[in-house]
Amino acid sequence: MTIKIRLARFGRRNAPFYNIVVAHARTARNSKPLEVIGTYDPIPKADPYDDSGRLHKDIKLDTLRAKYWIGVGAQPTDTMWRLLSMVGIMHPKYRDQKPRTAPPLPADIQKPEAASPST
Amino acid sequence: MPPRIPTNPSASSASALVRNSFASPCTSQSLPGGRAGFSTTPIRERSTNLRRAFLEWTRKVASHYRRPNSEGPSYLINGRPSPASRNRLRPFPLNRNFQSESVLNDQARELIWGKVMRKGESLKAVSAELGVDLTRVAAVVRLKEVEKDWVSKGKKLATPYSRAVLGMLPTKSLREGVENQPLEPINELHIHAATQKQLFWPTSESRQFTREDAAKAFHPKMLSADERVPHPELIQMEKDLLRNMSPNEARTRFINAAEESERKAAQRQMKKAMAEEQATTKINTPRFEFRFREVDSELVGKNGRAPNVVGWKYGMPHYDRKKGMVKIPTSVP
Amino acid sequence: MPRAAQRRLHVLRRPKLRQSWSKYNLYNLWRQRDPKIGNADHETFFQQKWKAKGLLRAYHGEHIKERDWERMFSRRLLSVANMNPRYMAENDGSEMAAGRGSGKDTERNWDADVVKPSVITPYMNMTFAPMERRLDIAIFRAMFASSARQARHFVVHGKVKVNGKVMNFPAYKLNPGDMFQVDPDAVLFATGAPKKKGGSNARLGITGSQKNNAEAEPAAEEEAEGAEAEGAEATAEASEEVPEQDPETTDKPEAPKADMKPTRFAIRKLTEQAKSILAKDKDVSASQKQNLRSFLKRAKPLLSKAGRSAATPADVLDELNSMVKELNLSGAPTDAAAAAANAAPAATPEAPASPSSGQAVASTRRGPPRSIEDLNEDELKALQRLIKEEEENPADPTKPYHTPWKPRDYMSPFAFIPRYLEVNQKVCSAVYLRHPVARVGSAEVPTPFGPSTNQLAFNWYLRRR
Repeated sequence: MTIKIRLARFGRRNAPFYNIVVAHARTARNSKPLEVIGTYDPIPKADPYDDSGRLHKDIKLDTLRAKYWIGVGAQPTDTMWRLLSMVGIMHPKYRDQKPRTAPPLPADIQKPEAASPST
Repeated sequence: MPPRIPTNPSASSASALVRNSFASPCTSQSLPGGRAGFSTTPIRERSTNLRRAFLEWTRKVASHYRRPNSEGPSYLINGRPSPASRNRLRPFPLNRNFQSESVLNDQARELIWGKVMRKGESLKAVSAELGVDLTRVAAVVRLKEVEKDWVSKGKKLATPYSRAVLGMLPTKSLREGVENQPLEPINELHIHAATQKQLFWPTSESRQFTREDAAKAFHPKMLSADERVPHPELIQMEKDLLRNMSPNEARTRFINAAEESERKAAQRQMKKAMAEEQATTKINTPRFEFRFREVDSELVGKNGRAPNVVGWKYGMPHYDRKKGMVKIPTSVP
Repeated sequence: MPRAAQRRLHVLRRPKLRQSWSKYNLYNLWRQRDPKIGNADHETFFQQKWKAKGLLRAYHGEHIKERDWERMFSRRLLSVANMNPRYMAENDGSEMAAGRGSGKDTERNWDADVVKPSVITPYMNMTFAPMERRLDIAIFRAMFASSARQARHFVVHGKVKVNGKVMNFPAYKLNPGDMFQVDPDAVLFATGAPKKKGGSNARLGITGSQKNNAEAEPAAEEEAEGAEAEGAEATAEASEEVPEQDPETTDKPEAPKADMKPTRFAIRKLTEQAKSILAKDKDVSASQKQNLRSFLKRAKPLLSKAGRSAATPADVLDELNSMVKELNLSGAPTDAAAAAANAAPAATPEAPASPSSGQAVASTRRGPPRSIEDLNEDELKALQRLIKEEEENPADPTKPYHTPWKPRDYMSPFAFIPRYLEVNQKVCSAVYLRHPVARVGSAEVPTPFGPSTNQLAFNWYLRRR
């Protein structure tokens, strides 16, 4: 059976929170997975004492385990593919894009348009 | 409340007081809805002994307390109107263990702000010099910064309020370059819960059983009182003085040690932030910044149920919505 | 809140002490005598505890449900010991152990002339310490509200920020280092004298105690305070705020809000006065009447202009000033001119800061025959002081409190700020430094009764249920 890297929804109503899990493809969404390799908080948040209006999303990921599971044939779902492509574990699926590199300095954050590649 | 029909102005002056007392909220609020607006029945003239006594008090005693005293605080003195100085600063006459403590006046706050922000002195040094608690020094500077920010933005300060309130409170002024009477004890040790139990700890009579040993007796990881106080550097300074070091040199060493300890604290914070930064990969997209924090998913403990396992846990209920759980924010960063 | 909970806060029969600055509360506090719980033989321990906790809970967070308080209660009572650095340098602690129980202890000398009573650490007065962590009660303790209930009202209505973020939970437990800010207008309203009955339609929030104070003033007490003509001078709060971010705030900057109300009020006032002059005064010359009429004519569009959001108060006031000058009533200075002259400089935001603008005020106030040169130095200084006071504490009829601001009655006997707070009154902000603690001889929790009563209450809440 296929092994998937996918999201399992936790959290509350209107307050989603996802576990990034490795599980057999045909098991239920929130059933006990093979392994939990991270979390994804889809609600964008602002930094405290930051007035720029720039929001961020927090993801926790064990990249080593993610790479291992990809290496043994696990298939990320589209959403996970997108996230994994951000850290360079997968090639971007839908757009011919190089894996994006992290901007090194906070100075770039001030001008996000300049720092991020045009999409 | 519906408008009240004015009472007959020709009523005798003796009943004026009584009428007034009836118009008080005590009685009017107790009748929800009150009298109908169209009613012409005169208000029942009624007053209780309690109310009469209260009015008597407002006329005779309360006039002392009505307006703020120009000489400073004026707290209740039960029964005895003589200016007994010993309970002048006791807001609750029955509680002898609560005193109204002095607060820093505006000039003292300005002085502290100037020392920390203008002259760049360390918080600990300022605290020890002026006899103001370490956390208070930091808070004064923080609040002063807000005040200066308001001034620079042209926001209106509540100056009349400030003047009035500080006039009602016992205040403390501090002067530069003079030995100031301390505002409060600055080297206070928090009584740790582990130290509140009684121990039976037999040792030999000849043993030098120090504070260090006592701390270890309470808990193997507990630090001694010398390290837990807010100003360990002050103790070192006193030790230096006991070793016949010149006061000036001891003072300089204290100031350096205070600066050093603050620098170290800042470095610790910096290091923590740097480590966090290192473990995080930030990816900018036009809409959001995605922050990938590297974690180890294999640290799950012996039975896979360690408290800091990544992700929500399987197979155990969440009690976050249960009765009695705190459902409001517990901290604001 | 359930209907049944809305009882009267202050009563004379069977009085209860409250966290409030009401004069009724002051009276009850004044006549409160030692409750003497447990002195009678027939009182069981349960009865004593019941009575004591009743007395204390009436004061400590009477608006908080008992269940909530029971959850908050903690048997851990915090305290500190003052460590003298000198002593610690001289001794390493072994002196406390040396010779214990073998004759080295110092006994108290009971035969001495003066036996000093041993001072205890009143731990029991810390029973209600967890309450002091609550945001609403901390606001009351910082003297930003006249009662804990009013403080709660402020929090619920979004007038309070914690660390720069609006916090609308009154039950938020402050952490050491938290800074809370209360809207200065709310603070001035809460702590200021109430408006006279006539013009008190704009109220921020009415608590029971305030209503009491407004209505229950005995006639004998009413002093002639009408000296300050309330409506005569109107002020524009033309605080052209730059929509910048203050360092303590993470919220979106507020849009610059031009408060047009005072300007509009000034114009309306002037118009009314002009009308009355036209109707009554026979002394006014024909040309002056003409001027007045044209003034009235032009004041109307100005009034509507002031209503629009695009106009700034400064613009409108400039126009008003020039109109008043054109009026030229100096020959027969009427009320309208005087009022306008008063209203204009007080309302001009940047006027009184510099001496040059002070001159402008002087010339208008003193009337045309006397110029600024006629004033001597003392007069000038006094004038500048007056102007500064006016600037700091302006008469503004749009405010929901008595203006110029003055503290409310019976405030000073309640005025104290506990040590665990550091307050900056000018910005209506305070920092919660740490949790309240007990030390030798004193406890930081402000509580109206002594340790014996508190101890009984503590024992009440100790029991497991």
